[in-house]
Amino acid sequence: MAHRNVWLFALGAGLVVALTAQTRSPGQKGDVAGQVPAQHKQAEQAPRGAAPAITSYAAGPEWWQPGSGKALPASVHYQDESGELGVLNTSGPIDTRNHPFFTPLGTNGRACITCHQPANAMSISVQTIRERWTATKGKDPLFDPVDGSNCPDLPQDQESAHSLLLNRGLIRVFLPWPPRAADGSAMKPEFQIEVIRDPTGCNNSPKYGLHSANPMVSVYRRPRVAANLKYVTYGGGLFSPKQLAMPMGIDPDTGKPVGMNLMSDARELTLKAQAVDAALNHEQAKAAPTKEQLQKIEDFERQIFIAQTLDKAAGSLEGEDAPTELGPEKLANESPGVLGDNLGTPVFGNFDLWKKPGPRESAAQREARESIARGADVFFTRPFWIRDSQHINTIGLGNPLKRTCSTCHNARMTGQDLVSGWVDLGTTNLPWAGDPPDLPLFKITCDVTAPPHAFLGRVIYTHDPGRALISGKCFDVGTIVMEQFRGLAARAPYFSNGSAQTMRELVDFYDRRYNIGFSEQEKQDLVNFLKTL
Amino acid sequence: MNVRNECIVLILVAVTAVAGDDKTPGEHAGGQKTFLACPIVRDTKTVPCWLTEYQGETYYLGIQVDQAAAFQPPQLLHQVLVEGTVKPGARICGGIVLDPVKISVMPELDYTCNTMLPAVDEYSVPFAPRGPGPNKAQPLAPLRFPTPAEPKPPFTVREFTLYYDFDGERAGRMAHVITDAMLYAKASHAKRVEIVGYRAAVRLSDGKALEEYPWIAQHRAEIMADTLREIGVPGSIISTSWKSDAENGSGMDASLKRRLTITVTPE
Repeated sequence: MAHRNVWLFALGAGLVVALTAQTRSPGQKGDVAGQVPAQHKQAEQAPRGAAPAITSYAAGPEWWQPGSGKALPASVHYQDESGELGVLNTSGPIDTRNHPFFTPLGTNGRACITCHQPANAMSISVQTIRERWTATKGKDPLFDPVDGSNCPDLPQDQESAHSLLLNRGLIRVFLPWPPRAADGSAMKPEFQIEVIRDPTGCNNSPKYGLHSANPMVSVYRRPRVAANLKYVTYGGGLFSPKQLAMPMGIDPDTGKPVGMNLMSDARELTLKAQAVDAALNHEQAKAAPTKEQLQKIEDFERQIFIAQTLDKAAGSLEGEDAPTELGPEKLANESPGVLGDNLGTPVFGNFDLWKKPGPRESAAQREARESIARGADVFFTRPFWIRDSQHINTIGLGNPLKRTCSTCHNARMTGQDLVSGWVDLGTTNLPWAGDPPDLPLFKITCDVTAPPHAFLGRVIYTHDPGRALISGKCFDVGTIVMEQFRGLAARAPYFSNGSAQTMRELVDFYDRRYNIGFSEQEKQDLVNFLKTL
Repeated sequence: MNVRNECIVLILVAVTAVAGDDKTPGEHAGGQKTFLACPIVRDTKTVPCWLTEYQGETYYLGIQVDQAAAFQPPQLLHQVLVEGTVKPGARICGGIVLDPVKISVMPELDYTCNTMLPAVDEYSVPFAPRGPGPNKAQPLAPLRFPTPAEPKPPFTVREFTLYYDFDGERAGRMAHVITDAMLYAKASHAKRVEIVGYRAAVRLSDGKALEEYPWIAQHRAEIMADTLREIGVPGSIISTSWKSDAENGSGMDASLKRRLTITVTPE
């Protein structure tokens, strides 16, 4: 055992007094988060793609073209690889003409709908991205240089310049370094960041990189699901129950704490602030949307619910013959903020109905339903050792923790963590993330006075520092906010960096990461269960 | 990097000085044990037991329960500071029971602390309120503390005290005290909120002294100032100070030295 050294003398003595009125924490002022002005400066620098006129390229029936003016029905279904996805708009049909979610707000031809497609569970799948590339010869605004390419200074007509979007479904997210406090001032981070490998060229770019006039770190992340957001935005108490007495952000409109589960790094506290960020940076708008536009975007996002409605093998996921918590209607009707790691209010309800034969079902249906029900049990009740995960094993539950998937994926209906869900599962930090050569690699060196990452210490190699790029905290390096589980079949690939191309790869990652020892049957059952969500 | 290596020259001085005033080296009064060691996890058919070894003996610390439980287990890959009292009676999971017991997970990594023992029939924990699966009904306790009542006048100068784990920067389980202080400052229209961070040392059962990080008092104070500002206390009335000299403590009371005070002076 390494012995801890002991000290006799204090290195300093006496009382030191300081008066500091300035906040040193990330967050937002009004609807603008601290990092957004610096980001916008880079977005303004980046060229715009040659955005085609709306009718220039044929769009598939499922592709929602920005500014198309189509009406969005109250309920619409889209086929996906495992069955059918339902999109429910609780306010009824929407006329999308001039609606700010569906209409370009900026200068590059994109709208929110570009990366939040109804057919892809209000995210966007790699399959859709590839189809758009082929259909438009890379001219769709989706591939805009600012973040639809690996870096704006690459030759945009080449497929290789968009490889991370085409292969992994990743959008470039550029974040100022050092991190910004809520008022936009530079914070003092607890660590230094070095670029070890820069396959996209953007982190070392003299114009867009870490050592440019406007220092920026580029990471690459999946667009998240813009639906079921009453669950995602749910806010509870004043303090995080996880990050050790860390105050939760406050919604300036309501004055109440937010859940800090928006976005991969929780850098935006509210839907309005997220829309400002997206308009100024992804859409390269000259100015933030108006208050009225922001309200319309938020209202729309709060009334959209998505979930699978049909499983090709098991049949309908709604109605009397299906488990009770599936389908978008159920999501629309339930209340957020309910802890689901218990038998009283299980995360995704009870699948016992499908453990026994039902009326009018075929043999194939029976087999599929039994598998799904077993998968639900694997998710909910099969213990394994969860260990060495920052913000899971460090919150008073012990390392290791003998529990189940639903311990961390505990929010009823979505499977997110109930609040402030950024954790280090190992999807971006080495060694668990592996070392794929197409992603950037950073070396993080933390100050000796900073509390280290509990399981990786003070020198960490990562593809994406995650929340740490916002908080500046060493113990946040590689932590990513959990994504919700709904509509998985419609929006591959998975994890924030698209490292799991399929649900089976997702399950295999967990099996490897936590040495679970799933049987082949358990893996298949778990995948079949996830497909129904 | 072990940040304490820089001060290795001080070790011998420390050991000699502290051991010199210890009448019974190696043992505190009342069966009290204070020591640094690796935690050990012992699996059972239900939830794991947490043990540790010190001077050839095995001690039982507690079991995995829930976040709201009184005992929060340690972490493999980290040493743990154990401050506990031997409880006479039967062993649990093979260990002498320490109760009450306070543990602090040491922040620095220690890869030698990595012992997991398999479940054997000999050890079980039938008293566990929760198994490794989902809770039977609702969580043991709410994830959050209830919102405290609005403070009422008359308002006088009031001090709020928070206690920390060894080397801990954040009083994770005392967020309700921060809320109390904030509400009191708001209700009393405070003209001054003074934060004082402290740093402590603890005497171990082997006579050695263990001091907290030199910077910890400052970090505690500064983090608290940020926290109060974030939850609505005006930065202009907050003053921050810290005492960098470590206050000595021993036994179960030593943990009370690892503290921070918030003094609210009404208008």
